Amino acid sequence: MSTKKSDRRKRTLEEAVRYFSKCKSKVVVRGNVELQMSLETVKSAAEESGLDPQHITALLDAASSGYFAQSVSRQLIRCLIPTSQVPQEAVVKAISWMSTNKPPVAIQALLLRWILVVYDYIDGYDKLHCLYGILFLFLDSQVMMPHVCHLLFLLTRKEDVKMFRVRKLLSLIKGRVGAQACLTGLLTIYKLYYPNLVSFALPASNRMFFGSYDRKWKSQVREIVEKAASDAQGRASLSDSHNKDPKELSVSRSTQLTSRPPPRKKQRLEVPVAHSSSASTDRQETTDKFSLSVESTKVPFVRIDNFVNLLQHVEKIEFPSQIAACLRDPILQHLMAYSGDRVVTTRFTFWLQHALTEEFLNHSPTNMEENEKLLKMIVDLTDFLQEGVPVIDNFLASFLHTWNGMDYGPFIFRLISRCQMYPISDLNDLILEPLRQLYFSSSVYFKCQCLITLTELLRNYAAYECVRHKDWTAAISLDDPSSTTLKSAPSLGILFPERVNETVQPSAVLQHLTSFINKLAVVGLQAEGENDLLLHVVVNYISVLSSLTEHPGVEHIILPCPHLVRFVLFSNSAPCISRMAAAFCRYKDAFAHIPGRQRESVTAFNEMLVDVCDTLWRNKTFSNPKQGSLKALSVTVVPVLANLGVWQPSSRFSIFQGLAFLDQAWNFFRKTQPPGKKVHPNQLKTVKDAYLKFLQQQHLVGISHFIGTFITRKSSTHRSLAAE
Amino acid sequence: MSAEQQLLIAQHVSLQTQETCVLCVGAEGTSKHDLSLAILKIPVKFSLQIRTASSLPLPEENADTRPRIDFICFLINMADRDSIQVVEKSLSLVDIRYFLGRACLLVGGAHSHKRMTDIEQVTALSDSYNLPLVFGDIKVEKERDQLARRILCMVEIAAGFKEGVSPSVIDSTKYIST
Repeated sequence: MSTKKSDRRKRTLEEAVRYFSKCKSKVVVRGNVELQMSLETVKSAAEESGLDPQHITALLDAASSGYFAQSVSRQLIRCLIPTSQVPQEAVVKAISWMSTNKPPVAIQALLLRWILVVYDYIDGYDKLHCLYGILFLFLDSQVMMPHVCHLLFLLTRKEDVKMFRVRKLLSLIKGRVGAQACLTGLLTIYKLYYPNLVSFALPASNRMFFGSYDRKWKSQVREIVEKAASDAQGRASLSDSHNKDPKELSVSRSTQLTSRPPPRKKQRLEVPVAHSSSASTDRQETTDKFSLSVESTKVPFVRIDNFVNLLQHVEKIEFPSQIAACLRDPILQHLMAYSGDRVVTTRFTFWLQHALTEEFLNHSPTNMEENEKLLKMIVDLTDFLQEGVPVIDNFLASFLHTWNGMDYGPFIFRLISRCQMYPISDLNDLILEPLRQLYFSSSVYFKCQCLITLTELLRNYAAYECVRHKDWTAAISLDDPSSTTLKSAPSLGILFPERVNETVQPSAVLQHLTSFINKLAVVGLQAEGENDLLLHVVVNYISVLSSLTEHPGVEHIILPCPHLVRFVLFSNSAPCISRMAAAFCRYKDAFAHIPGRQRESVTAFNEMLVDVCDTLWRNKTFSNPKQGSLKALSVTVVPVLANLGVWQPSSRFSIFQGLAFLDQAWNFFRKTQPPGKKVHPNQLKTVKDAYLKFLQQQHLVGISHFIGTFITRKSSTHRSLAAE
Repeated sequence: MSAEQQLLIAQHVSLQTQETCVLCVGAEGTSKHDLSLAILKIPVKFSLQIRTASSLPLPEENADTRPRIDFICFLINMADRDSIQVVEKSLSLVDIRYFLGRACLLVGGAHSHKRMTDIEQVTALSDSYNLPLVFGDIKVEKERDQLARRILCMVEIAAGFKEGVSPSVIDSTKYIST
């Protein structure tokens, strides 16, 4: 039944298209029932499932022939929604019609917009690229200029950049139209290829060059293509799911792309598949003689279908015209990271800037899932590069500023932790201050995520950014400072060098970031009443701090603030105390290994160390008269504890009597003593070694390690062996 | 000093009463009632009252029975140009002590394509009055709940129910450039 219906619809669509293509003279609109009906048919068919390639070509011919009234042509062009692919022939035809000047200017502009809307679905780009020079001529029309610029921007290859074109653009900018964003955008890409041709100083802003005109139209096209693709896949899997050869499933990428099947399901169509403008033919040997291709030695990227292939041709691969494809293509990521080509990274930056601004900042989120997928890809890419991308940092700054603390949470946190190194005041304005405002008004889970992210950022700075910065400044001081060596950038592992800021002092940034996290952690713990989860996150932060000097880029030992240490020390969580004790042991190693240690950090560390020893082992928490910071507290704390009826407050937090260790003590007695016997934690003091061993078995390794490292058991004075 | 202005003078919060009153100020169309209901739905340990006003100053009637106001929440809808003007006018009538962590600015529609006001204008307002910005869309149910919780969190601190934490402690965590 339904198939019959769709057959009938097909026939009438067929008829409608025939009607449009047979008209060869001016058609009256008023009272023309046949025209109206055909138009309706085409419209409904297009909106439902898109049009076939041959229909698109035929209708395009009709719409741009000028036989129909402008309103009709306009509607027809709006209907040119492909089911999967737009034939290149149709696009070429559209440009030829524009060149005849038969269609009015408004329709010409609409045709251009249509090309931009379906740009990612065109089945080839070689012929279209041949028309580059023709397209360039349309720049003179003020109506079409923005669209022409955008199209040229997408098509431009290195050999297209010619002096006369640059001159033309410059004269346009200096002439009546002025420096419009679209013109500067096009010039920017020219300048990237041939900086010597464009002496014009371009504004170095990261704003969007090309406004988006047809957002709705674009999303409509995307929906229909996606729907058609999933339908086709559904049908295919239904019909031959049982007799499918498993080998067939893994089609290599090159065959997939040359035959251009409908895009696979669940792929974000806004991130295009890699295809190259010079890669139209597989039999390049035969066509090379006739083609005007300048770079015939180049291997188009679409022919590279595995890693071995990549290695063979790595020096002469031509990048695909859709640079954003590297978001989903691991091989292309390798290539981009290896080549370190400025043009490539800048094209990528432009694309990303456009996509992020469009999807996240300018509009209320419509399609969260799609956006999440995009963010996921970006996160994966930054993971692969192990480097922050400046354009993403810019995006983060504006996004965080208006963030509600919920949308895309996990991805945003991941991206923050990959942020590049900025001077601390910038970092504060861009990232830290917005986070801080959210932090204090949010739930404990958000606080934890926030602290984890900042810890991760700190670790990332220590592990990668410090080294990178060091190498970079070393390279610059070696070379002539006037010729900032962009070529050496990839060898230093910097793919996006524009933001490496020589004024940044890594150690100062680390210091400030640490003190910022300290403050957040202390006030957060206070506000959340020492939430256990938050406490664990804080201890994790302390242990990351203690191992920072393991990274070669870090020269100074950074200590957590004493308040934080006290929070953990007096908490009710034995695992947390144990982990902190382990961190102290790592600090000792760090002090031993780092050359030229600073006096003040040694003193500060010793102070904290004495506090911990006094509390956990020596029963002198508030009563050590000479060392430690806790004596100062005793004036206020001891009377309060006495009021509460706490007897001997100085021994109340030790590993024997402390509340945190109470269950351990009880378990120990239950294991070692006969049932029914009266016990008291005080008795543990006589079996210290056995108890320590027991704690070790309970996975509280840090405690025994700490005692073994810092306490000399045999001497009666219990002097601590501090790091000195 | 007029009677209205006197009403808005912040008073010292007494911890014993455990009673708080939040005032939501926003023009028509900022969904302040939805927000208030969402806040009231969340169980808290203290008694909470929410009053709404479409602009300041507050009317003179009932002034004698009105409770002390602990926290003021200003609402802006970026798709509506009037809403920001209302808030701008009202802010000038508020006692200065409210700007030490006893007020916030809730901004809706920041990513809406219909937005009429610049984000810079909102930021300038928040900077000049030291108002923390809270972004979110009250009309979306999930976000409304989250917003309500965030505001409650600030109210709790402002009213002094969190031991050891006060608005000035939180302000002290700000980075100060040297």
